[in-house]
Formats: sequence, C-alpha cells, structure tokens
Amino acid sequence: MGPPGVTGPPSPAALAFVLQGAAALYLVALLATLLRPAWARAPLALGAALHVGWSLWRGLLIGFLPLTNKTESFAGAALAVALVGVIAFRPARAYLLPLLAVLGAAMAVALSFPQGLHWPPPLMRTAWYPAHVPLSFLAYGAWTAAAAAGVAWFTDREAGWLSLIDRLGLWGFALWSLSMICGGVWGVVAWGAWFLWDPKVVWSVILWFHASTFVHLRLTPSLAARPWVRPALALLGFLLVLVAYVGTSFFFGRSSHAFG
Amino acid sequence: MPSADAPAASGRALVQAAGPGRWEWLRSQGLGVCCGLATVLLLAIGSVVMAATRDGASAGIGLDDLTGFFLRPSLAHLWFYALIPVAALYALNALLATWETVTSRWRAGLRQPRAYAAAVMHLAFLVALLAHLAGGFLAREGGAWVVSEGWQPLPAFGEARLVSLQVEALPNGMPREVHAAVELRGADGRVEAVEVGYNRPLSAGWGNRLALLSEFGQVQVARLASGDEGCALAQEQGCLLGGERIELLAFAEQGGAGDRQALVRRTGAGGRPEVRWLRAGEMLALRNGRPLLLVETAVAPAVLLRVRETPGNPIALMAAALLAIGVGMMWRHLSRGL
Repeated sequence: MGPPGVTGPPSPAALAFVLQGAAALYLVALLATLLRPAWARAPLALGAALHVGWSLWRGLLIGFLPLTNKTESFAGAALAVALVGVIAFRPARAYLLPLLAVLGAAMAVALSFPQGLHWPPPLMRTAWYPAHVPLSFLAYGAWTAAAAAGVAWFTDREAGWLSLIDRLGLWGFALWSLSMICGGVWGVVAWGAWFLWDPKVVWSVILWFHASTFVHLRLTPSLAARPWVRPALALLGFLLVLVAYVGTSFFFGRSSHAFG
Repeated sequence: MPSADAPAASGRALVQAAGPGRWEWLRSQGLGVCCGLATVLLLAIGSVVMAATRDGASAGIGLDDLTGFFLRPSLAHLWFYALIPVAALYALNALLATWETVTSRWRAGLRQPRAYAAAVMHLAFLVALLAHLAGGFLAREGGAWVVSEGWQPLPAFGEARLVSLQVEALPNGMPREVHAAVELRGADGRVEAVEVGYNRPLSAGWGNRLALLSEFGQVQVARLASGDEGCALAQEQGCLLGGERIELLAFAEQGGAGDRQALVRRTGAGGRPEVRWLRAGEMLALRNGRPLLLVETAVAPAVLLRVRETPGNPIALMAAALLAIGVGMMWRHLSRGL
C-alpha cells in the first residue's frame, strides 16, 4: 500500500466559505420545499453549481480529483445527490424532503471534518480512480433519489413514483456497473486482483446484485400485483448504500479502501 | 436437473428441458429475483463473519482466493458454502433465461442491439462467475523479488534488472510517482525495456501474470566478477559466474570505515556448498580454476516486485468488456431521461 496522503498544500480560507455557501443554498432549497416545492429546484441547482466550483478549486490546488479525504468524500457524495436531485426533480414534499435530508446530512458530515487539503497517495494516481469514484457516487445519488421516490410512493401511492423508481434504479445499476469495471481494473493494476475479500469490495458486489435484482422486479409477473415491493426494495437499497459507503469505513475494520 | 441424464446436452436441449412444464421455473424471473436477494443476504452475512473472524477462521483468505474456504473448513464459512448452490442456480437461471430470450427475439426478427442488452449483461455475469472460479482456485502468489542493477530471475517474466529509478516527490517529500525502468530478458535472450510504478505493474497475458511494485529504495549490493563476466547481487540473490552458481548470503561490517564484506556461497569440490567471507578486492578460486573477485560492495537503487499469477484476470477483463458493451447497448433505454 502507498503512503497515506496526510498533508497537502495550504487551503485558502475562502475555500471553506464556498462549501458553506453551497450548504446554505441547499438549506434554502429545503425551506422552499416546505413552502412551495416547485421553488426548490433553483436554489438546489445553484448550490450544486457552487459545489462543483468548490470541487474544481480544490482539484486545481491538489492537481487531482478532490476525493482524497473524508471531507471531500462526503462532499462528493452530497454533490452527487444534489445533481441527481436537480436532474430528477419532482416538486413534491414527500420526495424532496428525504432527498434533501440525506444531502444535508452528507454536507453536515463533510463540514464537520477538517477542511485541509491532502495530496493523493500514489495508489490513487491512476485514470481508473477518477472514473471509479464519481461513477459510484452518482449511482449512490440515483439510488438515494429512488429511495426518496419510494417514500413518496408510500405517502400517496401514485403510479408515477414507480416509474421514477424504475428509471433511477436502472440508472444506478448502469452507473454502478461502469464504476465496478473501473474499480476492477484499478484493483488489478494496484493489487493484482479485480476482486478482494475486503468489506468495501464485498459490499460493492452486494450493491450490484441488489441493483441487478431490482431492475428485474418490474419484469417479474408474480410481483405485478405487489407494487409495494419496488419502493420497499428501493428503501432497502438505500440502507445497503449506507452500509457500503459509511458502514464499511467505520465498522468493518481494515480495508484496502482506507487511505489514511 | 435435466442435465443429470445428459451431461453433454446442448443449450437448446437444456432450454427444451426447461421449457413449458415442470422445469420452467428454472428460467423464471422469480427464481432470478430470489437468487439475487439470497446472494445479497449471504454476502452481507459473509462480510460480517469475515470481519469478525479475520484473525481466526478467515485469516488465510485474501485477495480473490477461494481455496481458503476449503483448506480450513469451518462453521464460519457456512455462508460461503450456502452461496455455492445459490450462485450455481443463479447462473443456470441466467443462462436459460438468456438463451430463451435471445432465441425468441431473434426468431421474431428483432435485430436492434438494444434488444439484446440484457443478454449481453447476463453473459457478462456468467463470465464474471468463471473469472471468480479461475482466480479463486488457480491464482498463485509468486513471492516478492528484489530487482536491482544485476540480472535476477523474476518468476513468470524471465530475468529482470533495474536500469534506473526515478521518484517524483510532492512538496512534503512524499512520493508522487515512481518510475522504475526495468529490462526483462526472456529465455531466448531478447531484452525488453519496460517501466514499473504504482498502478503500472509488469503485465503479461492480459493480466494473467503480474509483477507489482511493492516497495522501492536502495539496497546493499555486491559487485562480483570472473574474467569478463560480472553480476551484482543483493542479499539472498544468486547468479552464474564462471559456470558456477554464486549466491550472496549476507553482508557484514569490515572495520569501522563503513566497508563491508560479503558472505558468498558456491558449490565446492564434490558438489558440497562452500561458504566464504570476501572483502573488496579479494578473490576465490572457482571449480574450473577461474577466479571469483568481489569488486566492491555498494548501495544501489532497487525495487521490490510482488509476482502474482492469476488466470482470473483475463477472464474478468472479458466480463468487464461485456458489461461495458451491455451498458452501452442499454443507452437508448437510459437516454429517455429521468
């Protein structure tokens, strides 16, 4: 394993304000959702734009994709949720509130960690890493939105949510498949194996199997009369994402994905 | 199972056997969903059990290994033993469902690639399972090898020597990139120049054989000569000089000036190994009367390469290509927007 990326270039004070600005705009989106959900899209999009700017600035300062520490990781996950929220926007409280709650929680965690910059460790320096992680986060975002749509379906039982759940599930599956390909190739060049008995990798496989199962639900005749199954499994999918993303880093001990 | 009476049955025969009637469930969506959820559950249990038994029953199971589950059978591996029939049933289900879908769609005149996207992804899944089997049961660790300025055997790659080592450092002194220029010499004597670094292993056979950079730095080497021949050896390395195999066993301080002497082993009279300390400039007579001279001891750049033979990698690469093609074929479906 390479040495951990524990230090980096100085972090300009304004950099932290940019992320806080994005968080403030997300908060405005949350308040707008409470007042009139259709108003939430603009502050959500502006927050995401500012958030992208923050990522680009950090990336320029370290000369690499800014996904080298926990701040950047949680901020990256939050950005993915925000982007999916903007693209798959639906002006409904039951959908937006859980989505923005997850976004807010990820932002709060990102802001709670030290904001310093880290150089990436040598093992991250491959084209496969900058492809693998953003694709993963976008898949997380799609599945989070699918779970939010699941909450909305359990709230009002409208068929439109099922269609959104299916499409988000399929997008998550496609993005996750591409992410697994990039991660697998990275595993080969970095560790010599495309699969490792490592909690993060095993849970990545779990997510892939859950997602691939999920995309078959709509086509399963015996489930046609049970529309609750897809929203329920979308919610389960979100729980699996939480374990894969957060749980494996904190509760499963050593991991090849721990870079210091 | 239909294949029990006809092990060499064709795919068509299997599908016919699993067609309308009592075996139809084998290719049903419902079975696929059940197998998928069972796989999720068993892997989730397995991840917890493996983390809990990392220093016990699961201690020897690393990378993509599957043999460890069988070499030391344990109740802790029950989840894995249960996963085997589930995965087998899942694979059979995917195979039969894919065959049925592809043949019926083809017969119906469907020619658009997107109609076969799911089939390609199912195929990727089946190939990935094969990759797991090949990697899990046939992968071999080839050990870690110090490669410095002298030619050294590197299993699966012939012989290797380090030509130069460049380390790009970050402002804080940490390595940013490592460029190790290495020469490989095959059995036919042909020399090939390659570069090794982080995420840039030596690779042959589409990843079947790999030599991965594990460490880099400097090592003590002994430069030995016999007539026109010469070699440089780090500790525990050997080479052929004057028709004899010479091995370097150890270094030791020689006086207080930092000079070192080297402990070398050669095959002595009667085939018995002879071990001798040599100082710089000191000679030793080989069997054929030729001298063996320790020219000097020096510090030289070196890399530590971990050799791995893993036949699962090329198959996994094929699965990855199929999966990427499958996702590409799904694009029309995906691009309908959210």
